[in-house]
Amino acid sequence: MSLKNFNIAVQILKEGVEVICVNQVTTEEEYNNNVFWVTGSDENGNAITTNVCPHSEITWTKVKEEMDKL
Amino acid sequence: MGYIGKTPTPQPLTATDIPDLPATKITSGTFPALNGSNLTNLDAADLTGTLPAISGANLTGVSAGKVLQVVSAEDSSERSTSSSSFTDIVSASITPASTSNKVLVIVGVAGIRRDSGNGYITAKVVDGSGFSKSVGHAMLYNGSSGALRIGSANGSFLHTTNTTSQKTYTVQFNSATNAATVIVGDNGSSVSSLTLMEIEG
Repeated sequence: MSLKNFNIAVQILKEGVEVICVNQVTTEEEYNNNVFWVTGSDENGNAITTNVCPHSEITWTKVKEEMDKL
Repeated sequence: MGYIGKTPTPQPLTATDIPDLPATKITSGTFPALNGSNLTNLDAADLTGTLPAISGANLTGVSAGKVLQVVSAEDSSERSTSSSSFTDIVSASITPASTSNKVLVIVGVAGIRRDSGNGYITAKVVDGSGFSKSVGHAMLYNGSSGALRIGSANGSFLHTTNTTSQKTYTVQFNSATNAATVIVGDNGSSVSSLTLMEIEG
């Protein structure tokens, strides 16, 4: 359930953003450790990711606000 | 024993000449070697006891098909992606003993879900050296939007590696069209797995 709300919140903030998550995202620590933002793909189609969100529209504070509305 | 007249011709004894010989009277001598062909009327109920421990090394008459080693890994994490680029679920490594051996790959991707949208999921197994096998394509596709769950996708295949170097197989998934966030390991209560068996070639 926690991943469901996180993903809904992220898509509200920026539709179509590509993000990979593991386990759960309910705290800022989990947001920093369990969320992988997709920045591209390699020659085999594997996602290239970063833990640092490259989307200025998305921050933990904004994500949390959206999650709390759900 | 004494006798009168001509000396009798010695006659060999047979078992029929001693029909009532009790076993306790057989106190010395050597039995001939026995083998399985002598046990023509042995009842299965008389076969009691414990078999000795055996291993694959005892199967000396088997020329191929022996399972030489088994490696497995599991993952029960809930994982989601909204990207069409692939991300890992679970990996396992095996080092074949011979280039003629094969690796039986058994994979299960469990707890497949989407919460909204009309996207679908693709799962595959790769080895990092160009090998790729689909486990499931267009899973969750039903032509409409909305939440959808399926239990699991499973597959198995035999891979000829042609190497004695370590092989690492990885199960991956993606959101095939970027049209929805897709999830495996639904709520952390499902276990995806990867089992590798080296089969003697």
